[in-house]
Amino acid sequence: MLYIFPHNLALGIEGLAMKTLPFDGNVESKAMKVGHVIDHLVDALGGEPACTLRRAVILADIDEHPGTTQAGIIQRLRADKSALNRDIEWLVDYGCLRRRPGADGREINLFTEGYSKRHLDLALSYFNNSHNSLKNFLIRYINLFGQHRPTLRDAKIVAAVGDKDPTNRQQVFQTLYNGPQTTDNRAINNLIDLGILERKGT
Amino acid sequence: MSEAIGLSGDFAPAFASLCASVGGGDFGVSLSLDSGAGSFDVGGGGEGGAAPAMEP
Repeated sequence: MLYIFPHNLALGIEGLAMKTLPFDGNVESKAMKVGHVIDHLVDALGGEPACTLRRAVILADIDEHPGTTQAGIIQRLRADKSALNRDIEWLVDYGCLRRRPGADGREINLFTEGYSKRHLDLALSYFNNSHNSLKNFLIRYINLFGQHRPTLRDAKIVAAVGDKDPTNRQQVFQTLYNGPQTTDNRAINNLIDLGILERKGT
Repeated sequence: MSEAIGLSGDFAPAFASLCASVGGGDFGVSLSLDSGAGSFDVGGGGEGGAAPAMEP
């Protein structure tokens, strides 16, 4: 079921991934909060749950440093250059970032686009509006997956399972993003293969 | 399709530690995006706590 809340309507965005209750620190469990942060990030990243958490870190970094260059991101995040190139291309293609030539005509400055920034702000509200805290949280989340590069879908599945442990696939699907169920099922199976999730007797 | 699933025993404590960091404010330490940290190694942190420094 898709819920539309006033703060979402105010944004004028259709097809939102955020379909859970809005931020309420008194009601949400910790794992539920993680799920809500991921929902907002899906909205910030073109509504694409297949996007990696890594790209969310990069988006948050650019939002924190408007007009930054690729070199600046590499320096701050100690990110691999060729991988960062691909990530930035993806973020531009999905309308999350805007490029603008710098004053010297050679440098390219990067800015977050309006809709992306608005949804990122909602995710930041869970971290006292600290970009650094959001980035560190996401990097720690990425590191939990070891060599696997987690997507936002992976992160949401883990949060949904963590919130209702033990649960079942159907309940997890209901928290996800209306994509093909085969894709969601494959993602759960992959997380089981990785040893992150496990089948439990009832 | 109705089988029960949950977080694995190894992963659950690391995820709980991660959850505790939500709403904890600024860690004051920036982690490296391509540090290649080990699986399930979330380290310290917690609500308001300091995040672990990682190798670049």
